[in-house]
Amino acid sequence: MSHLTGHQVRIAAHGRDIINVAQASVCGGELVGLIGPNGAGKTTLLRAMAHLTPLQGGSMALDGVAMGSLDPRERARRVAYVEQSGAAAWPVSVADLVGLGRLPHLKALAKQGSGDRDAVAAALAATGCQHLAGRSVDTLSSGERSRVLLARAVAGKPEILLLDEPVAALDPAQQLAILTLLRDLAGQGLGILAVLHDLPLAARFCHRLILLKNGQVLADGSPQIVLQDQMLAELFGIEVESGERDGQRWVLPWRALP
Amino acid sequence: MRALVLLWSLTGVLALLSLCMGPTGFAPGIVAQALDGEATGRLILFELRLPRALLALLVGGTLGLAGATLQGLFRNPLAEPGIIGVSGCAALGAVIAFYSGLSASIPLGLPLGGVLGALLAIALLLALAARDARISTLLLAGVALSALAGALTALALNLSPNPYATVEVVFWLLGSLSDRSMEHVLLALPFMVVGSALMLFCGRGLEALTLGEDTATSLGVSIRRLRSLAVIGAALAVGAGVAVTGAIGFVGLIVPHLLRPLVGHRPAPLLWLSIPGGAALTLAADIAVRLIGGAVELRLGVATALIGAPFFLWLVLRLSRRAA
Amino acid sequence: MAGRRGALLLPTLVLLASFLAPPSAQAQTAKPQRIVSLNLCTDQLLLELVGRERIASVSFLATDPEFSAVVDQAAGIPPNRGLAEEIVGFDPDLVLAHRFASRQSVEALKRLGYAVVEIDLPQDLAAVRDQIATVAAAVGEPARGRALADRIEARLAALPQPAGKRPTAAIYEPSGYAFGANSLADAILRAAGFDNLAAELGIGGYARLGLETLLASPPDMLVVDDTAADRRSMAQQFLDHPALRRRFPDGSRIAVPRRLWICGGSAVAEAATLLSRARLERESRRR
Repeated sequence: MSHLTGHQVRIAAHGRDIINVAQASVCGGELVGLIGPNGAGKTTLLRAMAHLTPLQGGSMALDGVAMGSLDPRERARRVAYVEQSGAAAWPVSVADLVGLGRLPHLKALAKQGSGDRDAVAAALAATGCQHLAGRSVDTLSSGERSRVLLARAVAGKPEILLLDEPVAALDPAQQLAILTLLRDLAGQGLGILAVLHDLPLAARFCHRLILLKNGQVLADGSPQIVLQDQMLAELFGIEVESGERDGQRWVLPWRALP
Repeated sequence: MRALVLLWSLTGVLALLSLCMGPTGFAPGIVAQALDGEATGRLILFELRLPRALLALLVGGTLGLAGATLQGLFRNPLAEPGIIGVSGCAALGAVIAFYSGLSASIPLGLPLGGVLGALLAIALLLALAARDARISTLLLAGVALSALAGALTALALNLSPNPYATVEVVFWLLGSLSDRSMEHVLLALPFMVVGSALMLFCGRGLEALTLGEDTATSLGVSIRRLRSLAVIGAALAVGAGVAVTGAIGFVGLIVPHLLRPLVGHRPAPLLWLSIPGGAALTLAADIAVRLIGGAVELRLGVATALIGAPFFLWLVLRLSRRAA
Repeated sequence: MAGRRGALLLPTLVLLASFLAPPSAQAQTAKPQRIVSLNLCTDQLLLELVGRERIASVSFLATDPEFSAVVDQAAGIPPNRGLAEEIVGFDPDLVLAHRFASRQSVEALKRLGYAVVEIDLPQDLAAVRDQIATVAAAVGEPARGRALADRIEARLAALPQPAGKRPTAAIYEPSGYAFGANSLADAILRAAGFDNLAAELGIGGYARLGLETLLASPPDMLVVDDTAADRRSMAQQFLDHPALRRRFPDGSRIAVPRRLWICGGSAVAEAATLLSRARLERESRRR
């Protein structure tokens, strides 16, 4: 099982520490939710794990090898990153956009081979986008676009998937579908770290949660352990209602604390 | 790809047609004479008409490619060497190199002057785009840069002690393919070949850039390397071209725009297609210029601007309507 | 006693009047002593007709070796750029100008009452003689003017004309400009024994002759000025086109400095002599 781990991660800007995290990790087979209030540094931490932001201190390692010392194409093959706003510069077809995920696998100036096309087809199927393959990306609804962007990442057959708000601005049915999909992918061996804004969804679908506030990890563990009233009061300043259904615990923000 | 074959065939036909154009219009007689081995015919065909056709092909092809590359790099369909001031700065560099006498003492000094001018322009624009990536900002900066380069070019020519220099601003700012020689072709050719190769290597990076810089980086693309390849490639090709033909505008705007739908809007195939596209457009414009001109020869840059400027306006309106 | 005072009165009055009268009135009574020339062609004629002590200023081009045929003679004479204020500073009693140059300055000088004589660029040899006569009359040296014109015509007449078919030549200038019919250069070519190809191709005056057109109907000899020191311009580089160099190698080229054919004067005979010599050399090579 692959694992992506950050130790003593420190990111500073304007003389301030934005991120100061002793340990943050994601392993194959688990869906990890990165949650916290606005401005906690979730996107920053995620980007650091994707090796997109330089660290002022600490290290980020994939299977014990520093991310920085990996060949960029190997890194790209093993770790996929999906940013929050997936605006495409050109109105390409969905198939072509998803095909971008195969770039780390293609040799210089080479075109896609049958293996690549199969991977693209599989990714489209997994995300339920087969019927969108010929459509131009600028004709997609936001829900469809989120799925297509996810398909792009999946097409590369990565070991680790880093997602920034994959279900923001989606309607409830789509949110449930995507998170179910992510859970399935984790079950197939992918390690997924997703920044999530929606507390109930995070609580229900994630194997593990990392609670981030002011750039520091408040708690890191399974939802059952971590989502205690005290923790939620400190993290979000809220009181929650909770219960159980079908053997799964659900959590619902009830009121804001003074 | 079928479109590629078609465009190259069209380019070939137009090149042959260009070889049949004389000073007063269609004049294939010279070609027949040359093929017969007649000295005058051979001289005119190989020393006058052939360099002209070759330059139209080379300059047009590299302008089309540079337009496609810059549009992919800036993720902006309005970027092209003329509008964003690259051609203007290349002309300024070439003018300084030529009229100061540097180009006479340094081999390849003339195209190098053009290349340096173009490099400076693109570097400036990239630095600006890093701080403010909006389309409008880039275009406004390009307009300012073009105007500045044009004024400095006219100034440099005015300051030249040579009595002919002042009037030649028309050549540098409007471009012309007439009375060029094979020496000019050979002067620019190595820069254009290297520059084009560098730009073609950008294909993959530009594809990845479709989803933004972060996604591209996560796909294993080095943004810095991509920028260097694109910038240096475009500067080499455009700089050398402008140094021998003056600034010819709008080819890099029109060609990628027209061809993009044929390749599903994908940046990489567009690069390859823009070469014959640009070559064909420039050859056609140069043929038209000689057909229409008559006694006074219409500058090529005027012809491309007459087509290109209205096209640019239409494009701007269409894009703003879509954004609204 | 009154008669003698009266006898002195008239000359005194005349003398006084001469100080008060405008300068133009003065010029009518004596040869001009402070002549200013605004134009290179009038500079050259002036220096051939009068002594330096009578010349107040010549144009700034007179000492430019690229354009002037009288560089040595003009050395040391104060130059002018044709500006009215400048000219007034020299207090000239005669101003020589070209009819189409420095228009505003010339009009201003006329308004201020200065004597201005304007000449045209001569378009044939008869005009050269007329022009010399005009300038000679203005500077008060009609005899020297006639002698100069006679000398020029004698030198031209002494040039041999070809027995059989006349060879063709064309004068090719930067940017491909050529001298066609109705130009002084045309007359010089013909005096040297050539037919002017540019005229035969329909060029009139000074106009562009396309490179391909020239190569398609080439003259026997091409007259080009290769002597300019600074050739840094597109216009001059045009004359270095490989096609021109190939078609007109040294044997078919005549280098004549353009300063010899842009003005009327002794330079005309110089140019014609150079051209004639080149024609004869070519003939002897072909035999």
